[in-house]
Formats: sequence, C-alpha cells, structure tokens
Amino acid sequence: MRKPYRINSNQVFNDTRRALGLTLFLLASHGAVADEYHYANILIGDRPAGLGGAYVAVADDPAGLFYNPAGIVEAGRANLSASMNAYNMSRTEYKNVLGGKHDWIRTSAGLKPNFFGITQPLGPGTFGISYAVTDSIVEDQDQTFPDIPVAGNNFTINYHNDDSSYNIGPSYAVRINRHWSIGLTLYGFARNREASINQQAILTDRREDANHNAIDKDGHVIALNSDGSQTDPSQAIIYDNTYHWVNSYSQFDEYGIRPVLGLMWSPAEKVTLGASLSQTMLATAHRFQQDTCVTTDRNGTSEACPLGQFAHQRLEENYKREFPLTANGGIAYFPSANLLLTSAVWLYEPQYGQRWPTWNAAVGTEYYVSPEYAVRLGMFTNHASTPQLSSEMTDQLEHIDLYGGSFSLSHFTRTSALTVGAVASAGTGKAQIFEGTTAIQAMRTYGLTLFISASHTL
Amino acid sequence: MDATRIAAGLALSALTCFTNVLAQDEPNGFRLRQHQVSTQNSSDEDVRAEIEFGQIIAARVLGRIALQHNNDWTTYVNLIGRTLTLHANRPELDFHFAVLDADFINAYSAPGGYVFITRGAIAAMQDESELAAVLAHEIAHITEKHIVKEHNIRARDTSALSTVSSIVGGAQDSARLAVMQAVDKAVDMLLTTGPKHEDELAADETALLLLANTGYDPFALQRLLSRVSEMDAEAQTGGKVTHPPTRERIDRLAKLAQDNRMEHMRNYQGKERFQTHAQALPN
Repeated sequence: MRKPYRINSNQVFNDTRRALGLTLFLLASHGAVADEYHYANILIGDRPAGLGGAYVAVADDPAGLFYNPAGIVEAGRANLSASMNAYNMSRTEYKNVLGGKHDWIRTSAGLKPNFFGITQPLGPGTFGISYAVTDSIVEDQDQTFPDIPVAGNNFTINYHNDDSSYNIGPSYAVRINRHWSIGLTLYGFARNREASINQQAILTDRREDANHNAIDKDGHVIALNSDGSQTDPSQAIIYDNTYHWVNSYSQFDEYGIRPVLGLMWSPAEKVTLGASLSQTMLATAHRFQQDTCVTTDRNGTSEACPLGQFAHQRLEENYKREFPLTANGGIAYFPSANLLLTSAVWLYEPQYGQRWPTWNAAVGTEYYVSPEYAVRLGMFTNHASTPQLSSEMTDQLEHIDLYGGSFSLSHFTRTSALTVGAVASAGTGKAQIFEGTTAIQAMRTYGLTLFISASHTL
Repeated sequence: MDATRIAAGLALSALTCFTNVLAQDEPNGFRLRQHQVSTQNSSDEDVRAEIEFGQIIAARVLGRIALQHNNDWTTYVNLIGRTLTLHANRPELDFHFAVLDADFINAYSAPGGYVFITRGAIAAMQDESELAAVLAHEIAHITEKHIVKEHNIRARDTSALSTVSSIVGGAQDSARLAVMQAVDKAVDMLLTTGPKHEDELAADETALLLLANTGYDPFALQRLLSRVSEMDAEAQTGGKVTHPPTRERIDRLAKLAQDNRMEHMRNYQGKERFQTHAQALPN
C-alpha cells in the first residue's frame, strides 16, 4: 500500500495529466531544431575536431573552407581533398519527470559524412568547394512508465526525431600580400527535420474524491488537500481504464544561404591571427504537422481532443526563423614544424525568442611524435544560448552548458593522411519540458563522436 | 546584436590598421608541418612521375606544332643541348631536343627533359652560342622544376594506408581529374600564357651561368634578345606573349654578368659551324 504524499494532489494530477495529454505538442515546439540551444554541436573536419574546433587561425587545409576561407591560400599549390565520417552518440536524461519519479531518457546515434572539401589553385587565388553537416541528430525515446504515482497510470512514449543541417558551397580566397589573405565561402543551407511521436496513457482505476484528490483502490487518499484535510472516500469518482492516445508527425524544411567571410593575418614569425563572420539567412521555411488524438478521460478533454472522438488536426505553414551573426576569432602559434598551439573564441548575436547572448572558446595543440604520426588534443565549451531557468516562470527553454575534450591521431604518408579520433562532451543543466507548468527538471547530457577521416594531396 | 557587429567590425579594422607594422618577410614557411617538411625532397618515384608528366605535355605540344623532320638539325641541337646538360644539376634526366616546324620565334620545355625550339627561332640566330643560350634557358626551366613545382607533380602514394585513405576519402577520381587538369594547365601555360614572370627571369639567370660553365659566350642570350626585340612582334612569338618584357630580361642579364665579373669573358660563339648547319635548314 502506498503512503500518502504530502503534496498538493491537484498539482500532481494536473501536472501528470498535462504530461500525459499535452506532452506531444510541447515537445514538438521545444525541439524545433536538432540542438538549437547550442551552437557548437558538431566539430567539422578531422584536424579541427582534434583541436577542439580552434581552427580559425590555422585553416590551411580544406577544413579551412568552413572555419576561415582566407586560410586556404596557405594550402599552397597542392590540390587537397579531405573527408570525414563521424559516428555520433548522445544521451540526454531529464530527471524525475513524471510525477517526480521517472526519468526521461533520449538517445541519439548515427553515422554521417561530416565533411568533404577540396581546394585547388585557380587564377590568382585558391578555389575550394566543401560540404559540412553542422548539426545532425537521430534521436529516439522508447519508454514505458508503468507506475506513475497517480493511481496506477501507465504511460508509453515512442519518439523519433531525425534532424540535420547541411551546408554546401564554393569558396575563393586570395592573398592580399605576404601577410594578409581574405576569403569567402558561400554555402547553400538546408535543414530537414522529420519527427514523429506516439503517446499512450492508460489511467487504470484512477479515482478521485470530490475535491479531485487521488485515492487508491482501497479508498485511501494518496494525497492530501492543500490544507491537510481528507475527503470521505465513499464519494470517490472512479474512472476505470480510461486512456489518452496522441500521435503526431511533423516535418520542417528550411533553405537559405550561409556566407562566411574570413581574414587571415600573419603579424609576426610563427604567429597567425584569423577571424571570420558568418550568418545563416533563410529564404524559405515550411512546416507541416499532423496530429491525431483520442481520450476517454473526462478530465483530459480539450477543444483539440474531445471526449471519445478521434480528432485530427493538420497544420501547414511558412514561418520565419533567424540565426545569429557569429564572429569567430583566434590566434595560432607555430613554434616548430612539430608543434602547433591554437585557440579560438566565438561570439553569438542573440536573435529571437528567449535566446541569450553567449560565447564559446576552444584551445588545441598538435604535436608530431614523428614525421609520420601526429597527435592532437583539444578542449572546448558549448554554452547554452538560453538564460538560466526561473522557478517562477513557465515555458522556458532548457539551459545546459556543455564542456568537452577531443583527441585525434593522424598517420601520414607522402600524399595522404588517415586520422582517427574522438570528441566527448558532457554537462548538467535544467529544463522545463512541460508547457504551462513551473516544474523544472534537472537534466544531463553525454555525447561522444568517433570519427575517421582521410585527406589527400593530389 | 549591434554589440557583436560592432565588436567584429572593430576587430577587423584594428587588424587592418596594423597590417604592415609587424609584417615579416616569409610568413608562410613556418606553417609547414613535420610530415610536409619530410616530403620536400624528390624520390626516384617522383622523378619518374615528372618524366611521365613531361611526356604527356611533350606529346600535346607536338600535337599542336609539327616536328621539323631534319636529321642534321635534330642531331645538331641534341649535341649542343646534351653538352649543356652535362653542366646542369639533373643527371637523373635523359634530355631530348627537337626542332618544331614553325616560323615564329619560341622555345618550350616540358618536365623530364623535353626541349623544343622553333625553326623561326633558329632563323633569328647568328651563331651556335645563341642557339645554346635558348636551349640553356629551356634546360633551366627543367632543372629548376618550374612546372613540376607549379603543379605539384609527385609520385602517387601506393602504400596500403594511402589506398585506405583513398577509399575513405573517395579521392581516386579526384586524383585522376587533378592530373588531367594539371596537364591542361601546363600546356596552356607553355603555348599561350607563358611561364610565370619570376620563373622566366630565374631561367635566364641559370642559362647565363650554364653557358659560361659550358664554354659558350655568356652574352649570347642578351644579343639574341636585343635582336629579337627589334623584330616584328608577330614574328617573335606567333602572337603569343610568353615571356616577360625583353628590356627587363636584358637588363637583369647584364647585371648578373657584371656581378659575376663576366664582362671580359670571350667564350666560344661558333658562328661558322652554326652557319654550315643553317644552310641545311629549310626556310
């Protein structure tokens, strides 16, 4: 027999019912992008990934097309190509979500070509073309919660979210003089998201007293009124095997451009400074959503989901979304042919909604153990673009700052290099995953990317 | 938003202001990483790649301009040319010299040791040292690997790791494409745009030293350039400007001769032998 909870039962019930009945719509709106709350979700390119992404002041190979196109003039006369394939894994846990008892766990795993780039001299400068996946998630949640602490609720959720952002386009860079170079990459941007969520809640023998206090099968009140009193169990209203079922499918398609303007400066022997500005600008953004629900719970009905009837909703619309202007600057030091030290800082302009100005930083080092082998180490931040959550507000975006490290090992032959490496990040923060409530959930995220890449001098 | 824009703008402006204050002479050499430094020297495979690349270019040149079939002249230019190469620094190459059936004045060289001179160029010469001067200039392009460096011609890496890298990186087609692009560019450079300005001047200087070391008159190239510069431009190059301004070349050659104290050098010119062979060359 369960002991009564010393909390407001109405609050528990209402929150739980919201969780069961409305979660779909809440998550669909909150999870609009693979990870829209961070800007450095994937480190592009093998060498930059090993250096924690601190590459804006290096940028002298095809990966420079993404970080700082001005750097590719330093690739010299060689025709270079590079590609990277990455296997991403992540796990996000939302603590004590349902009735303060169960964790929500979402995992993501997927293999994607992360980057391809090629450079070659053309005219007075260097031409390149590159493809970069800046954000990608294949997220799943398949959980059943058999024992939610409101009289035997059984809740099942199946969630799948496939969301990727692609950049592809040409670059051109010229050397202004011995010390300066300038470059421009004009990416075409595309983002495609497809998500489906299925939720079923069976409210077995859920009973309430006249004051909507939940009671168990034996008539015992499992939650007290806010004033501590109890109601006569004989007045209980019993709902046997009522249920909610909600299914939703959504698709987002966004297309635009993303110019990247870069500058590279070599102010002194063995020192370089790099800077770039970039911003994604959408030309079109289209959303399609289809929702179906049915409920037999008198207390769970709504205009969108009336009692005992299948309700269908279909939404199709064009929308606008803005992206921040991103400034990336850094410095690199080349003390010898064996050693490289580099750092970078990113500043992001807040643009819309609850976005907050934020920044990121990275440091990295590369060391040649021998002419054939080089190791790289990097550390980086991936700060949230959202403000800290307040316990007095509703509908807030999650806030979690991530910190990570990277490692890679390259083996060189005369004309090629093969690199393997890993990038790991983790963080703890807070989320408010249910709309309309002030309840805040603790959350934590772990991510691991394993990559293999190859580069060639042709 | 504005703060970020302004900060970025200020940062870029600040960088621009200090561009030349702290500038250094050779900013890029330090970027070479250990694996790049260790692959700067040529291997036997690289030489073979250079020769094969040069053969393709030579074939393209001969596809555009016919060979002059004259055994006497073929033997003569090869005799002079190979004598010069004895003093060049590429003993691993087997040089080949040929005369092209063209009225305009020009000469070409392809990597690996392939040198061509037009019948029109020979017609503009007055002695053997001038012929040697032109051949020496073209030999210098080869010994200094101007085209090889320009197009980064190296042997393909056939190691197991490289093969794996090719598969992972999907670079096999790119490699083939890059070679064909390099051939196209090299042929275009030879026949249309000409070598880079600095490469031409460097070849002149190497040719001057090569002539002197071989025993030919080191002023032969200056003489020939002066004479050619007074001729009709169309006759000079067939309408293709493939060399830097003649005046600049002559001045630099004169200075180099002076720096090397060659003013009083009176080496072999070979006027009589040249004239004997010249009579055998059809107009």
